[in-house]
Amino acid sequence: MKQEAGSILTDQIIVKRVLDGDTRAYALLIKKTEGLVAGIILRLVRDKSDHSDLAQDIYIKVYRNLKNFRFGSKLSTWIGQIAYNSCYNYLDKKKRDVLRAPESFDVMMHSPETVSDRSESDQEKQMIREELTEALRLEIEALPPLYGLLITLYHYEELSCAEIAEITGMPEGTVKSYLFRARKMLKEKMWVYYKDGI
Amino acid sequence: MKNLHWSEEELQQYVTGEMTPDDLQEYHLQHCQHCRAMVGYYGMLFSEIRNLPGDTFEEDISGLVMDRIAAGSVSHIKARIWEGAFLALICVAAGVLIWFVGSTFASLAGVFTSAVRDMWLPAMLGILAWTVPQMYTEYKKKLEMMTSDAAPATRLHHGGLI
Repeated sequence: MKQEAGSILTDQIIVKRVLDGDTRAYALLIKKTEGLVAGIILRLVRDKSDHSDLAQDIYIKVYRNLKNFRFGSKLSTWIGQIAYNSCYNYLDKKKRDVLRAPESFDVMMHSPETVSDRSESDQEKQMIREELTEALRLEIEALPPLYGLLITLYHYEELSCAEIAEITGMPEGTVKSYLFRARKMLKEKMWVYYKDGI
Repeated sequence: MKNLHWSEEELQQYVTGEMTPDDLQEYHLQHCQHCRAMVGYYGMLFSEIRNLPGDTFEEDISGLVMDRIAAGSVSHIKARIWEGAFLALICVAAGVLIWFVGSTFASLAGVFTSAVRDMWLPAMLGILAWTVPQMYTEYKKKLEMMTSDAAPATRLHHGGLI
């Protein structure tokens, strides 16, 4: 994982300090795990206006339940699990359409200009790169929410399938199977941008 | 050669390092432009994902959460103060009742009642002298801590997210 809330030893020190009333340690914990929580919320919840409230609720829940954490897993995995379940509860409660793709993605897909049409001066190469990055980000967002989440957790947060299984509550085999389909889907979607470069 | 193309699963597992190809697969990869291109494409795709800018919130989540925790602690302390005040009120009421009973039925209550009547005020003062400084110290400690700087839910069926 990129954000090393990682080692059990560090986890224990942080938890002890927070339980002793050190609020700065909790602020540090939030900073360390914010990327993971943001990744989960942003992939699963499309409505941006709810992201902040949801993140706050997750961290309040973590704070209240920290005394019950028994170090059976990494602290970040446990927080990820709370974030995932909170998002699912939120979606279940609001009954949002989680399959809806963001509008910006539609605009991107209907843009008449493709990356391969561009000439290759250094400045334009940089622009192409930025566009590819943006296209990749949008394509991941446009994947079915769970697929997008699995791609983010595995390839960006660099979690193992076992850790993802722990966060999502799915069997490890199911995680692998969904991850395979997610990669294949993303590969096909991104092919239009990359095919001329290969 | 065409029939020996690597499957999607093999391509993905090879790029993520979850599979070691056997000799036949290795030979095919060396001589098949299509499979090499696919391996290269997957590799590039995964590398691009790793290099994406990190997910962040627009707001300062850490600050907002710490404010909420501080607000929760202050309200908890306020609740403790109200509890203390309520307890003191009950003690006063009990004292008044004892005094009333003692003065009205002095002849029946006798020595015991008068002893209680004489004791209630010192007892009340003792309780207040013990609890108020304690509550104040705790309040100051928490306030100082908050201003110094800035369980898992039930597992649910997840099929709906796909």
